[in-house]
Amino acid sequence: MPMPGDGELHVDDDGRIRLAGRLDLSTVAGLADRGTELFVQRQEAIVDLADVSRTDSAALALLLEWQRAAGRSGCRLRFENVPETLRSIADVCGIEAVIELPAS
Amino acid sequence: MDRLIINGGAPLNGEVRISGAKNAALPILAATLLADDPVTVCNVPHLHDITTTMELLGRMGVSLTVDEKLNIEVDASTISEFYAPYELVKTMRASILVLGPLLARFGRADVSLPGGCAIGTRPVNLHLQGLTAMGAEISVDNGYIRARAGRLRGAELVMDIITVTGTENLMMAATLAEGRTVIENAAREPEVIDLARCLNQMGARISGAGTDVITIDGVESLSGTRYAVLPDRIETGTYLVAAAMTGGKVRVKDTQPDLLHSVTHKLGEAGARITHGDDWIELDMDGERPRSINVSTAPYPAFPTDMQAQFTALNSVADGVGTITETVFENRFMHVLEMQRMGASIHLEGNSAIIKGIPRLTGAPVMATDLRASASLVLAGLVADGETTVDRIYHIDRGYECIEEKLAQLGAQIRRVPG
Repeated sequence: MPMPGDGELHVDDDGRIRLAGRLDLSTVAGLADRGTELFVQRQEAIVDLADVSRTDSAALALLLEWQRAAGRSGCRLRFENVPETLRSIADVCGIEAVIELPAS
Repeated sequence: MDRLIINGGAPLNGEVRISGAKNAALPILAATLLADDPVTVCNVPHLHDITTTMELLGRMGVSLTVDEKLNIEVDASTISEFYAPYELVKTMRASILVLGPLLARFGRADVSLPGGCAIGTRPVNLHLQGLTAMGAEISVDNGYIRARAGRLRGAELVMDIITVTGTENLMMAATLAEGRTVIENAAREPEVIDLARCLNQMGARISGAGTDVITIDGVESLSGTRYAVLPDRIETGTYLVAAAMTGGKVRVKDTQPDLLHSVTHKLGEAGARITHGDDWIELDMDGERPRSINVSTAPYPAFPTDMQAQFTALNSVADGVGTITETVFENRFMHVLEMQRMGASIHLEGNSAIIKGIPRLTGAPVMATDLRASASLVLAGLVADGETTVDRIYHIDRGYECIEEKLAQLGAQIRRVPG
C-alpha cells in the first residue's frame, strides 16, 4: 500500500478508511467535507489512524464531524489505532465522553 | 466518584516532574482575550479547571487549538459573545478573571457572580470597585455582573485587602486603559509576576509585579506571543513534604526553587537535607522521622496557606509538638477531623492546630473536603499502617496532575478506583 502524504485519506478494498500523515489545523479542512460521501449507504465504517504521524485538536474536530455525518447517514462509526497524543488532547478538551477513542 | 486507595509505609524515592501552575495558567488563558493575534500557552497542567476555561473561551467563540504537547493556542479574534455563564462560573471561581480582559478589549462583559466557597469568603467587590474607578459602569442583575465601558482610564487603586485574582483582573484591564494605573497593596504572588511577564511579552508595560505596588502604563493593543507557564510551587512543596514524612529521598524536577523558600526553610527545620539546582530541588531525610515545626500562614513570600494542610499531616507523624496557625482563610482545618480518625493527635484552638506527633497513623476511610485538605489526607495515608481510602478525590484532581501516577513512580502503593 502506498504511504499517503500529509492528511491523506485512503479507502481500502474492504472499505476501511485510513488516515495518514499530518492531521492538524493545516490539513483537516479538506477532509471534513468527505464525511457525507464516505458514510452514505453504509451500516458500519472503520477509520484507522495507525499511519497518522502528527496531530492536534483540529483532528478531533474532524473525527467529531465525521461521527456526526455518519450518524446522519445511519452508519455506525468506529475509530481504530488512535494515537495516544490524540487521546490526551481529547481528555484535555473534555470530550472523551462524546467520542470513543480506543487505544492503539 | 473516584477514590484513592493507599497502603502506607513505603518511603518515597526517585524523581518526579512538576507540572505548570494552574493558578498561573488560568489568568494567562484569560489574558489571551486581550491580544489581537493568537497566543500560545505552554506548560499548561492537564487539569479539569483548564478544560473548563477552554470551554468558557470556546463558548465565547474564541478559537482554540491544542497541539501534541498539550500547548494551547488561543485566537480571540473570532470572539462573538462576552458572557461567562453561571453553570461554568459556579464550578470554577477563576472564571471571574475574564471580566477585566473582556471589558478592557471589547467594552462589555456579562459574568456570573461566583457562588460560595468551602474555605471562606472571597469577595469580588474589589474587582468591581477597581473597574468602576477605571470608568466602567457596572451593575449586578440576576446574579450577573454586567459591565460596560468605552476605553478604560488609568486610575490609582488601593486594594483594601490583598487579593490575587483581584490584582490580576485589574492588572489585565489596565494594560489597555488610557494612561497609568497604579495598584497599591497588590498581591505579590509568583503567579501575579508570571501573568505580568506574559502580558509584557504581549506588549504591555507593567512594572513592579512582585512588589505591593504595580504600575501599568496602558497601550493601544497587545499582540500574540508564546509563553510557558511557571512551575507549580504548591505541587512542588507537596511532593517534598511527602518525601519528608516518609523518610525518603526525592528530587523534584522542572520546578523553580526560588518560589518556595519559606517551605524549604521549614522542611530544613524539620530535619530534611535540601539541595537544589536551577530547576530542581532534592530532599533527603536519611530515613529519619521529621521533627515537629511551627508554621503560620500569610500572603507570599511568607508561608503559603495552600501548604498548611500538608504540614499539618507532616506534624502529625513528627517527633514533638508543633503548631500550625492559619491567618489567610477561615474554616480551613477541615482535614483535621479526618486526620484524627486516622489516629492523629490534633487539638484545634481558634485558628491554630496544635499537633502532637505520633510515629505512625492508622489507615481509615476518609473524605476529601477541599483541594489541599485532600492532598494532606493522601500524605497521611502514605504514613499510615494499613489501607487508607480517600473519597471525593475530585477535589484533588482539581490541583494535582496525575497524583497517583507520580506518587506510584516514587514508590508509593497507591491506586485509583473509578467510582
